[in-house]
Amino acid sequence: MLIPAISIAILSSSLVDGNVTLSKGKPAANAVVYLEGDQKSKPLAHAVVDQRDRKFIPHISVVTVGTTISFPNNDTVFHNVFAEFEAKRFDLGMYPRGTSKTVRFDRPGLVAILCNVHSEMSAYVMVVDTPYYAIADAKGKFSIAGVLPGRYILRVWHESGEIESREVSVSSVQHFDVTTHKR
Amino acid sequence: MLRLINGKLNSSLRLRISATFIGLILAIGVVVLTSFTFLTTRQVERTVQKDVEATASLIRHLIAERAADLESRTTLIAQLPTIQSAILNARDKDTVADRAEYYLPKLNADGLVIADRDAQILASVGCASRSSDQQSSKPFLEKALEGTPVKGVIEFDNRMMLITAVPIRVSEFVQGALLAYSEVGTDFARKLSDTLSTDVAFTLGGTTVASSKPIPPGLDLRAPSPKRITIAGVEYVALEGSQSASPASAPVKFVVLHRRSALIENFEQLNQTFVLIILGSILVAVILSGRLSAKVTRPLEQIAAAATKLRSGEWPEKLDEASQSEIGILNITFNEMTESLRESQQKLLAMIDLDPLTQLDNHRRFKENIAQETARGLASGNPVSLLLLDLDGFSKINEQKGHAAGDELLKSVAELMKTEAPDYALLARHSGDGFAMILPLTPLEKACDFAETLQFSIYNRLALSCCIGCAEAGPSTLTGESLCLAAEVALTRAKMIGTNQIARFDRIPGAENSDPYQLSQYLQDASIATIQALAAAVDAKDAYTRGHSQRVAEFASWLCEYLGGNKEEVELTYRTGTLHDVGKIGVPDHILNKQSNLTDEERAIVETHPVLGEVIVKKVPQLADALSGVRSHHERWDGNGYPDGLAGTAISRLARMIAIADTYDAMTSDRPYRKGLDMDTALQEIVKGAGTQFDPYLATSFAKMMWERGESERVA
Repeated sequence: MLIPAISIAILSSSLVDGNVTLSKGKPAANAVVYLEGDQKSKPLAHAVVDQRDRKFIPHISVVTVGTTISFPNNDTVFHNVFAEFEAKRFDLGMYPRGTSKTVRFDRPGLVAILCNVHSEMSAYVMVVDTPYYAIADAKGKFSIAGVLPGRYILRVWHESGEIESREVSVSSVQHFDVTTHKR
Repeated sequence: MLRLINGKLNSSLRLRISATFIGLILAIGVVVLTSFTFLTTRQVERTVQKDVEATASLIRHLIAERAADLESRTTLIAQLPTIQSAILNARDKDTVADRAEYYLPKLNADGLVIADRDAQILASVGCASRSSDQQSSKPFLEKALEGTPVKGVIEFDNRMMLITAVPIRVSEFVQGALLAYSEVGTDFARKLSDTLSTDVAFTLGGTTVASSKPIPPGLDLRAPSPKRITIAGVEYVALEGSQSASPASAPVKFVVLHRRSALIENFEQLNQTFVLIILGSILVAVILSGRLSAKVTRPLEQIAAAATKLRSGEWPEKLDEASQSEIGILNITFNEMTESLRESQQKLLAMIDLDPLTQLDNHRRFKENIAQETARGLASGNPVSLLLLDLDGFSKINEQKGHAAGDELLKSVAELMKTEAPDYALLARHSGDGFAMILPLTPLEKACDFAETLQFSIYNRLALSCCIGCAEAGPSTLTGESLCLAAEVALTRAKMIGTNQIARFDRIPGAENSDPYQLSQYLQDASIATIQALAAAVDAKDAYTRGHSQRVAEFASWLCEYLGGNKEEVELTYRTGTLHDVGKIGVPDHILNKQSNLTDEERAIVETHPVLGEVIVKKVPQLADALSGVRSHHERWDGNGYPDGLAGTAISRLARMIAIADTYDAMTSDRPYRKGLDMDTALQEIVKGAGTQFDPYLATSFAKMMWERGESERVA
């Protein structure tokens, strides 16, 4: 099942890439780009938001629905990871170095992860229910491979709060230059 | 002058000195007090300004601190993860509101607003809950959402607010903003007032929005420079200040209200002390000036009193000469002046009484003495006599030997008189070379003895001859003056007879008892009646000449009238006729009444009578025009008459007329030794004498007139 599917995918899939620009013209670094369509996603086997040097690493991550993310404390100090968002509410409490806590994200949506102790620490986890997603690089460049042709909603989220969504039709190689806007 | 004498000037001098002194102190006091008050006021104003400025600066500082504090707190809260998460979870408004409520008290603020990155208000609590108020804070919010924290002052609902707006960041991105308000209100004002011990008010566009003390509405507190404001009866000094929460925002305006009384308390105390000091000084000045002026004026008062005493004729006591000051000099000078005045007066007094050369009583003193002694003698019934002595030819001695020798001679005579005269005699220098000796209790006989002794001594010792006239007070000489006149008449007679003579004034026999007319009376009242009475008295001395003077007066006045004399001339002629023989009063009765022929000596005595008459008439100034008629009625036209041997018209017309009348009456009168001639014969004799004895014209006119009169009488 998997192989033909892959082959089909190979045969018929397309590469969607493009650039995301913020409304003020800057490249939207780390912008999350994903395509919503009929294809449902499977939970990821493994996802980690590490805590080092009083930072969450990665700062922005995208997971599929049902994925469990582990939050290991690899820092020298205690952290209290908590999230307070429509997608998921949790408070992992204080835990010391070398320990790890896990959270499973069951619903799509954005989760902001903060540390109760350190206000400078923040991470965003975008939970999506689609296999087609990407995180733009520092120049706002993204690419999503293996997208089956069809109609999708292209959604873009940037941590500044700017977003963009549009209906797109994907066939073979598609290139989109997206400019986000404020809500 | 009167003021000076009454001593009023001195008291006013004292008053003026005191007044000047006090006035001076007062003026100094006023000047000092005024300048002090001026300086105090200025100092107060300065102090107030400084104080208020310091307070204002403190308030500025406190406001700035408050704003900074608000900002730092707000910034801190904006960074809290709970706020971050709340902002990210914006759709959960209740949570956001809860968070806002939770942090409001921690901010120590009056209001808090949380907005998302799209400037949507997620929560607003405290004073900021009303949306209308949020309009004014919008610029701050927008600024914060751009990432810049901002603070300032806004006004809403007539309240003044410090506002601070800070961005809420997650990672590097602004996810929202936090706005905190802190009211600059009554609480703050009171807090400031407690800290600064002064009242504070906050104003917005001139309107008071908050104050530590109730401010009446409408009271304009704007005071760019210190100004006085009265609130509820208390005076304040107000000064305005302002402070911006940030350079860009509107400033906070505040007014510092200082209680003026507290500011100037010290100065007022000083002022009061000063007034007390000045009042004290004035009191001291009053006392001191009183003493000082008394010290200055007392000697002056003493001098004034002494001068007043001097003026009233008393001799003041000696003034104190101890003082070393000008007063001492004044006193010494005054004493010396008084002393010299006293000496001069004594000298003068002495001069009044004493003849300086002979040291005998002078003429004035003699007059007093003679009047007194005469009165005393007559009152007591004791005799009083008077000798008048005149040196013969004294003017020649003066001419030949000089006045100094003459004076020495007079002194010697005086000395001699002193030794010769009895103790009770009063000696006087009566005239230039005349002396007088009043002899109380001495009858005329004895006085004449004294006169002889004196004359003899003077002649023996000093080889001088003199004439002496003697008289005694009696019925015909009742006063000193008449006694003098009598003595004078006697002296004149003596001198007329020759040198070294003594003559006495005999009493008038007819006047002794009944006849009241006498020399003294005559001297007092020179009326025609008196003169006639005197003439009658004289005529009475000679029984055969009774009525003679009266007739002569009539004949002479007829002649005067006949020759066209006017009324005055006729009257004068009559008067003179009446008087012409008055000198006979000084001729002894025995000579006048002698029935046999007179000896040469006796004739000489009789012939003195015109001069004696002149002496007497001279005493009456009103009879001056009669003098020539009296003296010269025995002169002859040919110059062989007496006493002066005048001739022709050198003899006054009056005398010439009287001579004719006299001779005519003498010829027609009976005499002891012959019978009187008849009129015609007598007139023929008169005509015969015309050109020799008489003025020919007058003589012939007289005869003609008498004949005419006789003719008319006969016809009648």
